Amino acid sequence: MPLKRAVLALLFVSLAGLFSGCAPVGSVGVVESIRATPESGAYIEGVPFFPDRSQMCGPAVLASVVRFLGGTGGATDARLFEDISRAVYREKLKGALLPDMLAYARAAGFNAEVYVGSFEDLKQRLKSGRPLILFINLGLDIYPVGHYIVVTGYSDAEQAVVAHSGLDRDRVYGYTELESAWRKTGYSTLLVTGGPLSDSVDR
Amino acid sequence: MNWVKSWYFKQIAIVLALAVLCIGAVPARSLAYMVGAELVSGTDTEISNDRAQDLETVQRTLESKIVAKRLSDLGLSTDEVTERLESLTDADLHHFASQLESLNPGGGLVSGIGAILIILLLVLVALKMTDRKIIIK
Repeated sequence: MPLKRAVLALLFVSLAGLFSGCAPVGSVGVVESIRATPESGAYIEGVPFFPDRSQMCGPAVLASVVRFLGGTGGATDARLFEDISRAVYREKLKGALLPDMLAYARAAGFNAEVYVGSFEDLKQRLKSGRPLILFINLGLDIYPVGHYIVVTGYSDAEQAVVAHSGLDRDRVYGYTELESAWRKTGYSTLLVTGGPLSDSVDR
Repeated sequence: MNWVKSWYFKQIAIVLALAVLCIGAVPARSLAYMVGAELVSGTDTEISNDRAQDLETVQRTLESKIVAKRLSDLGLSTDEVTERLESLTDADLHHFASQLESLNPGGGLVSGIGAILIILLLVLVALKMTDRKIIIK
């Protein structure tokens, strides 16, 4: 009987994990904590937030970073989001692929690279003012649910990162939660640099 | 006539034997010579470079195939796969071939049918584990 209970608990946790990916969590405390104790983390102010309409997390995070770097000239946010969506969103896949995100960023005049990230690398990039796009898996290994987030800060004190994710601006992901979801994509990380404001990013 | 023929062929045989002896006695110096050290090292470098290039080509080909198959499995057409492969650098290809999980589409939502199937499966497993049955009357 204990075995059955354990299996049931595991199933419940799996289900909860599968569908809790976009559940909003309060972020104000973490951001305030970073501001109060900057030595324990970093937070990049002013990363534009594009709410992710259904299945549009790829275009949303790319638009955030492109706009943050001052790209796309005078296009309105809506126009920018529409352009990126048209370029990277694939209806038949119900989502966006990293190769398309790379191709869009490069075609728009940015430097873009995809690589195997790590928490150390993430912290270093955030400290130097560079938001990173992470590709995470909110589902299971056997049933992946790919999701893009753009990380804007971290706090070692709170053991958490903050990221624009889905409909949540500065959503909080605990290190453990992020590690679990990020590991399932091989820690895939997209770094976009360059653009008109690139020189003012490093500080 | 026979003695004339015999004598005639003996002379030819002697001349031929002497000619072969003379030719064989001449050392064939042009067939062997020392190769300079600089030439050897240059050749090694060239071979090494060729080998490295060959390996890179093989690696890129294999990685292209792996990535192409993955993209094709996702449902992309041949043209769409080719277009994406052409846009990738060697480093990109290496990453995607090494981390195939990163080639899943990111949409952030569980598709409806997939979610229903998973829920159904998990519920059935849960019912089985608790020895419960659903009886429809």
